[in-house]
Amino acid sequence: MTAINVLAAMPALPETPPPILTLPPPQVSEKTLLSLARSMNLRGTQAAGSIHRDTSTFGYSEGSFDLVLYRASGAFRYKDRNRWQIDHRSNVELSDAAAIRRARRLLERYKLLPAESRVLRVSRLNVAAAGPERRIEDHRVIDVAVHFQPVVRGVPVDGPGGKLTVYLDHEGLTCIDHLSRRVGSIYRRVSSLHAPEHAVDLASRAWNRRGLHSVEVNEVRLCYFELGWTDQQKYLQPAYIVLATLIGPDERIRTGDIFVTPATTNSVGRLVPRIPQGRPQKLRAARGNR
Amino acid sequence: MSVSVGVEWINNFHGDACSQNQLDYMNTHAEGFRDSMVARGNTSAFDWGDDNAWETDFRHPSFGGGGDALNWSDNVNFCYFADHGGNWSNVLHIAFSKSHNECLGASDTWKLGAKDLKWLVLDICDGTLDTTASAVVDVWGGPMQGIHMIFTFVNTTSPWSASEGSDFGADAGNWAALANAWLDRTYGSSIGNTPIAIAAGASRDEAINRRENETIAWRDYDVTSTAWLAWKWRH
Repeated sequence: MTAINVLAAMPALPETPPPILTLPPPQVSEKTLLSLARSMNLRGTQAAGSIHRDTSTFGYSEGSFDLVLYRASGAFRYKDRNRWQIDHRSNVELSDAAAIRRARRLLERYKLLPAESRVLRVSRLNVAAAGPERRIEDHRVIDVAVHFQPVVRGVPVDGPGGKLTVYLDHEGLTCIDHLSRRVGSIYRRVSSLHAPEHAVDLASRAWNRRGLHSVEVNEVRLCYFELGWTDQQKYLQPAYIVLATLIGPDERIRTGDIFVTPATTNSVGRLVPRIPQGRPQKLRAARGNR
Repeated sequence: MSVSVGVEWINNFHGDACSQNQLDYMNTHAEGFRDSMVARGNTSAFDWGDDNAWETDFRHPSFGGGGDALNWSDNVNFCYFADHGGNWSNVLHIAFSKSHNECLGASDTWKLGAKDLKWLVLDICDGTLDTTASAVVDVWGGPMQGIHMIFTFVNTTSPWSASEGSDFGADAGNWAALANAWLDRTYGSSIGNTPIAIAAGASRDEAINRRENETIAWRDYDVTSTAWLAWKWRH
């Protein structure tokens, strides 16, 4: 029996259950790619840049700028490859508040700021070095990233998707990640939500089935759940995300765990793709098949 | 130029002396990395999962105990290991489901890069406990013996999806700068984890150059000593 310690407060629920929404298929083509490039102030023509494509993306490069558009999700990344994540020996000293202000202004300028959003987190890309004296030298921050979550009908969008991230270096914008699908109409009204304790109960049963030793539940979130860059998704559904720490038998080995379950009593299909099954392996010989 | 790849992963532990919590996704991360690298012209040398992954595959023979790293982890250029990790007494420990010859591998029995290993992914928790010099150098200064870079996480992390390994493998196989690819593909703003890339060099400039620019095309640009470490992380 798994020992489960719930440290998290349960999220408050909205007065009216949020509906299940449709996600229209993304409009992804070379034409939309070039149109998007122009909206990012690039010239966006085949003469000015080059188009490349593979099974999951369309890409456009012009000068030092790359724009990659994902076929499955319609998500895109716009970046300056000469600056994004690159150490130019500078130190970005933006406070969180200043970075958020700049990031919001940039998203507004490009008409990418959702009608409603909130800041999920501000992250920093750090560098450091140490030599024989084992003392840190040259610790600097080379970018600050502001991660926004769209908020739909009062509920934040979360998951591998549901993000707009603006990366800022010492000179300004280096990259925008837009991983937020266009939301359509109501697919299904929801008469009631499960209580968040129901999600913890389902997670506990799953952990028991896995025979886990001990689990701490750190956070329970109510959200609209969105998948990542390369996943197709037809519906945006309310979900609970349970963030936990798995603790091993001697308590020194711990790992994070994420359990996702529909929040509604009338959900549609699967929220999360099935984990691919592993390929069975023959038992290794004593010498290791050398 | 072709890079040789070996992967090990553990999802399933047993209720015995090596017992740990079961994991998901470790096979997809490790094998996804391998498949992405192979699809881009690199070669696969081994893929050991669950009970087939052994502690001796990482132990250098000079530490006894059947150490066989020179035939496995250090017999490839790029090794990807996905599993549990724990860090105490300035030693990283990785958990195995079968005792061959220990349940826990320990970084103080490793000489990474003594033979062919250039890059090691430790897709585990607690690759370092924080980002201070003591946390990074005291754990990694000793075991890095010619290896160019290590990619891992500070404290705990949670896998969000099955594709993290294949995404990193695609970038690495396309000759992207490795440290940046690792941080990009494994940082999750929802969970607030902390991926880190650690590069070695005989000088400060070399370590920083590797951290910023190294791709798999640098396979034969040897690290002659690990006098300096340079690291990069997002948090």
